[in-house]
Amino acid sequence: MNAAHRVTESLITLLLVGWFLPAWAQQDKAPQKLIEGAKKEAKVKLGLTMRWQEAGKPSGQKIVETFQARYPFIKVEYERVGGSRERERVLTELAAGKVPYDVTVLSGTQLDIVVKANLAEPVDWRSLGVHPRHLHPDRFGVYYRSQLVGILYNRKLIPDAVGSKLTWEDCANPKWKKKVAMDNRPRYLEIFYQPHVWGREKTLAHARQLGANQTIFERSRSAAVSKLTLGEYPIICGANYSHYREQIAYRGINHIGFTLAEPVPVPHGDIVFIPRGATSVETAKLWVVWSVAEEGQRVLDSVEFDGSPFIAGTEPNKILKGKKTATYEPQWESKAEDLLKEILEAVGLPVVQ
Amino acid sequence: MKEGRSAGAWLFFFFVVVVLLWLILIPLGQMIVSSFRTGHPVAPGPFTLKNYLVAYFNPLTYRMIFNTVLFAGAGTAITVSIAVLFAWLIERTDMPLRNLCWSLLLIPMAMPGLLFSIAYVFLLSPRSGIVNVFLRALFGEIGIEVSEGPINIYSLGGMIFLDGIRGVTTVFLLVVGAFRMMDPALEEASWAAGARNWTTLRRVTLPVLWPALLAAIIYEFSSSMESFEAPLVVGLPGGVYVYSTMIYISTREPLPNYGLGATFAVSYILMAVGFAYFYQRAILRQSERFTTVTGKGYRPRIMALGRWRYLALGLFFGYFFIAVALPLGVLIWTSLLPAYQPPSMEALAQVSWQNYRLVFNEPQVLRTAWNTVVITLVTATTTVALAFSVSWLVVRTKVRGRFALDGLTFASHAIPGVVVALSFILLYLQPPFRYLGLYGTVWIISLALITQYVAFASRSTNAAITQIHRELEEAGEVSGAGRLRIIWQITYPLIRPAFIAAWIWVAAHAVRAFSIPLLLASRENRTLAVMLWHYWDEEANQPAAAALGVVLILFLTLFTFSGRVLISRGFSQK
Repeated sequence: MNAAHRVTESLITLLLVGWFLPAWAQQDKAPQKLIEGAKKEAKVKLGLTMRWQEAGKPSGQKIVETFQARYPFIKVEYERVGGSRERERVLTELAAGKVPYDVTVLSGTQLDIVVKANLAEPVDWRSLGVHPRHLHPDRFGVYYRSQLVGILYNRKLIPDAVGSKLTWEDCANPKWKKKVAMDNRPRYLEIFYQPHVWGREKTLAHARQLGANQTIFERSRSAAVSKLTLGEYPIICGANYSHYREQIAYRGINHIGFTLAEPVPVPHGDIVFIPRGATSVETAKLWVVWSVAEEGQRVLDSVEFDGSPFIAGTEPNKILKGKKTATYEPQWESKAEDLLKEILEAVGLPVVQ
Repeated sequence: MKEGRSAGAWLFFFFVVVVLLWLILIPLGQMIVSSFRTGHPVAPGPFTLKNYLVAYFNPLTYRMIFNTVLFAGAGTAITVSIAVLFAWLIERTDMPLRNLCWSLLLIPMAMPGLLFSIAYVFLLSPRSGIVNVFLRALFGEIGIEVSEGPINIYSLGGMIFLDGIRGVTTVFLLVVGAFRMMDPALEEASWAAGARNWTTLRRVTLPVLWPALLAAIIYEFSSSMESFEAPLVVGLPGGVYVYSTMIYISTREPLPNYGLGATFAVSYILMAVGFAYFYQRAILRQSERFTTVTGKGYRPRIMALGRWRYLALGLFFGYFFIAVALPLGVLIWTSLLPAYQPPSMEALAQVSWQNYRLVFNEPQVLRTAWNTVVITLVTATTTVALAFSVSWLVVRTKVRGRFALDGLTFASHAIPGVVVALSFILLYLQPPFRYLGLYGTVWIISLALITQYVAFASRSTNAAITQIHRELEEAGEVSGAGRLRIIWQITYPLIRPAFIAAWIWVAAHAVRAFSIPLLLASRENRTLAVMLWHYWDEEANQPAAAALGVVLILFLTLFTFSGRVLISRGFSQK
């Protein structure tokens, strides 16, 4: 990438920040109609990705309590829906006619299936004040949590002088053979696949080299971070910034470092939606609108460290300043499954469609 | 017999056939159909051969089949070698403390395979595993510096080790009777001819016991083929795939592909059916060709080990240390820490009951415990009742097709747990069975477990009913008792010990079942084993998983003890 491109991207980021701030400010007040509906329902069941507590300290709990402080007439039941296996569980439950939550979370691919099977409640989120930046293309879902992806390393095994300079190319460097772990859905590579980032050839060559290096592919990001802190391997490529911060803030683990290698992949976060047949639809809408607005994102940032990068003062907002980022373009996001398939094949992982 | 062909018997036969078709053939049929479709069961795609092309034109599939066979073969070799050695030492030698060893060998049954695998992750993880840390320190003392290992549990070798150690108790129980009941005449003839102990063991004892050993080998090979826990806990992180995990990840990983999972399951079943067939033949051959238990009163001669006696005992305790003490110790240790770490003074200062408090204060744990109890009771009772019904029809009636019914019941033995679960997912997520509303409930898990266990229970009830002469029931008929009263007051009391034993066998397996409850898990029907996995996998909270595991082991020990008491009471009332 040349300097001109870098300047253009920085300008776009600044424009977006400027554009978003007024929108966030407007969203603090949810439509009165929603509030009236929520008063009648008076309860909502949430199945989202945050843990209720992290090492005994409130996390999802704090978000729920902040929501209830603003809307004290709503009783909230909360359950965690963790990784991809939990989401598949939610999907099959919906298919079986069970509606476990009023608001829950799925991946983009899973939401497509749900929409096709007519299992999601259509909502005009835009008219409820949700900014277009948060709208999933099919308009059933809303992007909730942002993600910043980087390289996590164990400082006991790699000195900061080396770790802080790690690049994405280093992840496939034979120097680190058998020492790099990553998620078995390496999202950063899906983003890099796009022509305006690395492009297909470079990404697949990188993926093949990852396979040749016997990179460790973990099925659970939390488990991977836990193993890294124990010293099982020194590097995780494609780790979430929030996981790094949680280890420090909640578990007092200070022997890990995080490098925001450029371009910093900023994949869309969780997609929340309302299942068809939910019992408290209006309250569910109110929750979603509140949670993606400024108050919801600020409290999310304070406990999970992954609030919107477009809100001044959030951790992602601070650390992304001056950094080159890479996001999904809509036309490529719709092909995410195909990209992933190619990447997994190149890596040498089994079970592809 | 007239009554054996009555309308009542026919109706009952029809009912049992429908139940078995519902449990076994319809799910398998649905799975075969699904193997020819793409898409998610929620929104199935068109019919196609794509899944078969993807599966069988991919070299990874053949690698997976090779891994499966090597894993099962090597695991079986280890298991059978250890089990046969202990059966021989305990039954046919003068090794000290043999009775104690017999009882100790039952203890590994109280440790579910999932916990055993998890414990060995703590022990043999390449960098942080306690054993590796100890070995590296030892190497350091003699000037050899290594940064990791030397043992890596996340490997095919690690999986084989875990599987090989885990199955010893079952195989021991399968072969120990043959060692005890063997006619000593052949061995005595060998000794009389001047052969030494080792030669007699090699040339006489083992060949005579070969049919029993073969049956045990085939049984263990089949069990290893469908083994799920070790491949899941250490195989997947190490990139080693076998059939069971391949089917699992086809449905629960990024880009789930149920059709591909069904395609793998079809070939998996064909292999499993093949082994079930050989197992059945081996059992028949054992009963027909080698009559080693005769009507003569005898007691096999005990071999004197001389100075090797204590070495043999040391060998046994070495196994016990590896199979029970070490994994249980590391689970207890981890359950007392805020985060797993190898033993040190620093770690000792952090010991607390915090994880036990977390486990006992977690409402979901109580709910999963209740689900486990319900599933165990329903599964055990229904399975044995169904098996009893099948056996009664097969042994006591002349209804045409009764042997096919017996064959159908036994066929379920060949279906691995992950395949049963996958076939149930595919069946109960699609119309018309979706409308039964069973998916996501504890009942679907019970049904799947019944499907898996009914074969074993029916063997047990078949044998029990066969042993009861018809004249007892005929006496009841002559006295004017109705059919149900005869069954309840004459047949059932006589077969009660076998009934209780089968019930306890099924309950003991249902309470720690893992693959079926995991694949069929939903918000409402999680079991304790699934909750434990949830702590381990989704939450990455190893200490909480260890704490729940310790509680589960205590519960299973209590259950095993109660079961033994119940069995002995059942027999004493006979």
